[in-house]
Amino acid sequence: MKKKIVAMLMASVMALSLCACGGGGGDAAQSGGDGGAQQSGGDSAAADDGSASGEITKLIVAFPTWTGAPTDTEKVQEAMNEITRDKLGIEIELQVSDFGSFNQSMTLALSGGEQIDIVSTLGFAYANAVQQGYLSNLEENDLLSTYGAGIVDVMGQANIDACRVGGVLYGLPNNRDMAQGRGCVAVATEYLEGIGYDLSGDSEIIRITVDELNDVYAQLHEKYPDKEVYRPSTGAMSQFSNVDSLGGSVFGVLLDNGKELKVENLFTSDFYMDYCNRIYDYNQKGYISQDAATDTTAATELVKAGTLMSYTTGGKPGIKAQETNLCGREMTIFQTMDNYVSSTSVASFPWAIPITAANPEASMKYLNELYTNADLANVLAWGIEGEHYKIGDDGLADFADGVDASTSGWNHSMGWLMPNQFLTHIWVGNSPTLWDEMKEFNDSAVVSAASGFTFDTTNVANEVTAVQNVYNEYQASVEYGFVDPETGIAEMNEKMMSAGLQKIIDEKQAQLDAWAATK
Amino acid sequence: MSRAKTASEAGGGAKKMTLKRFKRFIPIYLLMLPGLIYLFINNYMPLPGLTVAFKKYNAGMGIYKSPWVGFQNFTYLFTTDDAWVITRNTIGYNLAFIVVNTVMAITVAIILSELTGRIKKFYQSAILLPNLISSVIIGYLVFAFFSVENGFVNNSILKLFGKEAVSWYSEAKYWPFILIFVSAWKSVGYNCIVYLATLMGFDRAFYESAQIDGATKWQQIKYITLPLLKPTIIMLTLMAIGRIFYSDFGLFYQVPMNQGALYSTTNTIDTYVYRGLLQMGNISMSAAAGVYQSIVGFVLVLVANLVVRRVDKDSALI
Repeated sequence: MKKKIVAMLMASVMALSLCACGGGGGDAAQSGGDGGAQQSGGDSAAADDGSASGEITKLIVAFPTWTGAPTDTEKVQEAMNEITRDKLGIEIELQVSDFGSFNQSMTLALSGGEQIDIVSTLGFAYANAVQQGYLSNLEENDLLSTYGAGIVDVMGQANIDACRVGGVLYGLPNNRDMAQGRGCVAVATEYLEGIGYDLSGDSEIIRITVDELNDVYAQLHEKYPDKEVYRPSTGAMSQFSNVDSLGGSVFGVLLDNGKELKVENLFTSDFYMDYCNRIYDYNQKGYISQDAATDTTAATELVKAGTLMSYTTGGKPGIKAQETNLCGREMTIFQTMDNYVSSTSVASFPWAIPITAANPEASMKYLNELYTNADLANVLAWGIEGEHYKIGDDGLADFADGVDASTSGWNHSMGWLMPNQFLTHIWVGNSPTLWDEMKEFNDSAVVSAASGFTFDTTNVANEVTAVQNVYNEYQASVEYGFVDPETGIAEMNEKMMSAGLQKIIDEKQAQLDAWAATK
Repeated sequence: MSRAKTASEAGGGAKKMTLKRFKRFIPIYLLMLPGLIYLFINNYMPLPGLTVAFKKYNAGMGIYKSPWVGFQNFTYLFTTDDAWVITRNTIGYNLAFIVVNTVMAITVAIILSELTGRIKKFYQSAILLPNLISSVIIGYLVFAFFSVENGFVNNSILKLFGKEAVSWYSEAKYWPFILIFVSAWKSVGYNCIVYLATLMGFDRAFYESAQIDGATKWQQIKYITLPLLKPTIIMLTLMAIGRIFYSDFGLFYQVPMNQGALYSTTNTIDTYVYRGLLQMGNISMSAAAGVYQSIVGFVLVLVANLVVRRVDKDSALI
């Protein structure tokens, strides 16, 4: 008896360490039955093409927001169904989760064979989702060309091709700021005025050199010795570089805006040494808080609180309004480098059709509508006119009367995640020609030669995990300027090399060459 | 446990399992049934899923049809020097926790058992409180003490003695002490409950006769309380040893604020796996880590039990 109890105890210990990944995808199509649920209220007499049979296809659309499902999700869903019910014979159910749990809930739903018809891969890492086999091929049976022609028109074939993984298309890019203004910092304007900096120019982003920036910082520190001048963050190094982090990891990168397809070790590059030296210098001069590595408060919050003066950001049209809004103080944006489209930026978070979709044709039809139908796109982005937003005299959208950011039932601020943001209304506070500026910004940016390359980590999964751990160990001390770069970088690089960094670089180069050969 | 053992041994050895005997125990078997069903569903049915650790998992194919890859998913645990560091940290800290927390729990339990009335209730609740606080909040409480610029230790204590400020979050050598202290502070209230409950069940007659014989408090503790507590201590320690390859994730991840510079003394198997796989989301590799931990934990329990049996046969579990 006692043996049994102990055996069970032990077994429970073992079993608890396993995630309950039952079923698998075998029964993926099982849910197709209730997909075609009969819709009783076919009220309107418009019985054209899609709904000729009177059957309504029900799709589940999943995407994350920062805070989870807004209160009016059902109302918005109904408003969207009003538009597509008669036209396409499709109704949807919105499955909105908060960003933090989205990855996990999608992994569980898809590995459990639950029906999801359309999914955003934001937070549900696209390349990983493909490697784990969660997403379906969008060109199977000519799915895209038959039902998604409008999407190709809107996005352009080049952007679509940038989402291919191993030649297969698993996702559709969304229309947004594809480029990123590299080397940007946001500085609170009041402090710049305090040191007498000339802000008379009318451009949204002020172009300066790194030396000029250092000079501004020196003056700021002299005038406001009690305030922190600059706060580094984990993403700051990438944002303040012309490095193309292939496949989203900095282990094996293209230097110099990715002009050549030569994979190099970032940590032995001159750029990295210069960058770390500059931050180390900031730290030695007292620009950076001694708690910078430990304190995870967002830089914008620190600016709002009045303890910090500047931080790194990514430039784009509308960035000044965005940062000013976040910080609650007028911000000035300086840029020291080019606008850049990196290899991964187009395919950062495409929209996809999972393997558990009940009816991929209907999913593609609906996606096509989201990319091309302005009414539908506006409901998804801003909600219902008159209830959630109103259009002002200047043609810009604003909160409806009696509603504000905190009381609106549909205010997810995820416009940039939606399939085609450029169809939607421009929000008040932005330039009325924001979308044109955005297009211009995308078109004029430097594009990486590797744009559209995705890295399959399967063969080097062990090395990536090990090297990532080394990077985690050293990143904050080296990139926040808490150790002398001369010794710190060498030590980190040596440990990474013994953890297999060179193997990752070689694998990336091999995959990149193979990718380039097929272009 | 030990009483149940002798009972079952006596029963099993003396009589054969007859239908009559079985019938007599039917109500007891029925009582056992819900628990068994729960254990079966929750702990045995997922066992075939262990195979995922030896496969290249593909959601499209499911666990059972994904291709086998042998031990490839395990190699990342052992490829670098980190393997030694994380194993040493995990076992070292857990051993320290077992010793320190057990001693603390027993001490506190004995002290509490000597108190009476309202004050006892108050102390008991007060020392239980840290156990109910989330690790994230504990992380910030610790940060309030050790923050370099605004921390209590640097600004008040060290200054008082005229000492230089220390950047606590970049000096790994201090963290073993901090973590052991935090762990003791957090868990002593909870751990002492079992000991206290056992203590309260002791026959007061032992103590009364000891007092009549002129035994001091210390002698009473040494010759009555501790020997009576021994089976409980051994059982709880054996159970702790079974989890020696697991670490309190919140304590090792949140309390040092996930600081890279502290990894040499704060990285354990759980945090290593979490940090490494956060980027990749590879189910097979995380399952491999789980299998490794459970198998080593299982072996350790068997070994520890063997040792206990050599020393004191009645206290062993199996």
